[in-house]
Amino acid sequence: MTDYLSAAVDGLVPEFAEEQGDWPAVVRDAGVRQLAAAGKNHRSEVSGGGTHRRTRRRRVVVPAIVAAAIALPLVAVAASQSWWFFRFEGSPTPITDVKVVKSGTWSGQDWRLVAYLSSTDGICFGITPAGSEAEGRGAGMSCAAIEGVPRTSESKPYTPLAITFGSGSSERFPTYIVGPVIVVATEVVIHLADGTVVRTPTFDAPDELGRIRFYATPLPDVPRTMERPPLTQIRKIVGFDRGGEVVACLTVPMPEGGVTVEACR
Amino acid sequence: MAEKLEETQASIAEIETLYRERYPRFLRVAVATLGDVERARDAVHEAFVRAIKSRGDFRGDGSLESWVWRTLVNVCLADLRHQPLPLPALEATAQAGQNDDWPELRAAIGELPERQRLTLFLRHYADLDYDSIGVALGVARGTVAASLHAARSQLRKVLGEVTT
Repeated sequence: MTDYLSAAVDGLVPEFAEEQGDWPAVVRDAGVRQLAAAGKNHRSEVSGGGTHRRTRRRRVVVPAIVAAAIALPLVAVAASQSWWFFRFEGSPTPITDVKVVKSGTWSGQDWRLVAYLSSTDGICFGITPAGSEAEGRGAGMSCAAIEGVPRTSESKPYTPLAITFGSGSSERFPTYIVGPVIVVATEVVIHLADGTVVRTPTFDAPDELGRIRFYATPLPDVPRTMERPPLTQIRKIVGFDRGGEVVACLTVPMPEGGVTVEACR
Repeated sequence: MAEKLEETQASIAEIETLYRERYPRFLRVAVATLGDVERARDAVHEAFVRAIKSRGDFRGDGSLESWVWRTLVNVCLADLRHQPLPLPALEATAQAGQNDDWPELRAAIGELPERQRLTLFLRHYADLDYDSIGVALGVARGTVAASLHAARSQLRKVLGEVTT
């Protein structure tokens, strides 16, 4: 381009050199929570079934909130007598004790699935390696509004889901998936991008957490590259009742406006 | 296993780096394309949201930046289909405070074929090379060169007519 023409074209549109955008809003609207872990250059991104509050400035109808979830990072914080996730600013305030829903062992590492009801974000749940209750090393936590979980006067106006999930991969565990599901679901089937199907039974939750059940299972090792993180392998999560009927459905990414069970039949 | 975590998180971190380092350029191209600063901000926002959501689809055929540019172009074109830009193009940017010394040039750019116009914007406002523009627009390098040549020729003609 000639200098003359270049200068003319250049003058047509401002450079916006001072504009920085709003990265946190981008991450939030993408449905992931990206937080730096304390003292390390690690980040955690979580849960396609997570929060998606669309807050773009566009002057059009804003879609309804379809889900609610937050995620807390893998961390290494100073030892404490309390649970690691309460050390994080932004952790929803509990209205119940932290309940141990289930214990197990993956790849030789003992873990505990713990959950509590929050005043604002529904049920908070996550996998914590045994012995890391205070420091949270290798742990993860998500929160979501689920059918069967009691609401409070402070509950955010999220539409409750029939099923959601948290997923992670760390130095302590294989890639895993865990989450709450409506109480009538007895089995959860996870569909991965490569066609793999993983079936896992649901299990009871303490009554204090509401009328829900949980599921938790490691996922098959999948090829990982820089641009194909394992969490993106999850495509669909389906809950079945005792009679084999689809009672809960979540597709990843979740379409605007939510997803119905028909999408999984 | 620690490396797994790094790999899992790297793509968002790279997209974030791109956003923080290149945001003004993305916004500038979006403004040029849409002719409205607010619509452009929304488009850039939406493009990066989509980039995060679909980061698993990035195949590495070109650079990550080119791939995100392509996403932005698609968002802008979808926006234009939904709400067509009134001609002359870029009218709104003049209203946004720019000097409008070249109304004929604005009109001429607005009348360029879509591919030529986008090629011009990506070359001039984003400073992308031909290969990257090709990835962003989904066309061959030669098509980029031809489109840019045609756009420049047309604009030179307009400028010549204006200044003589």
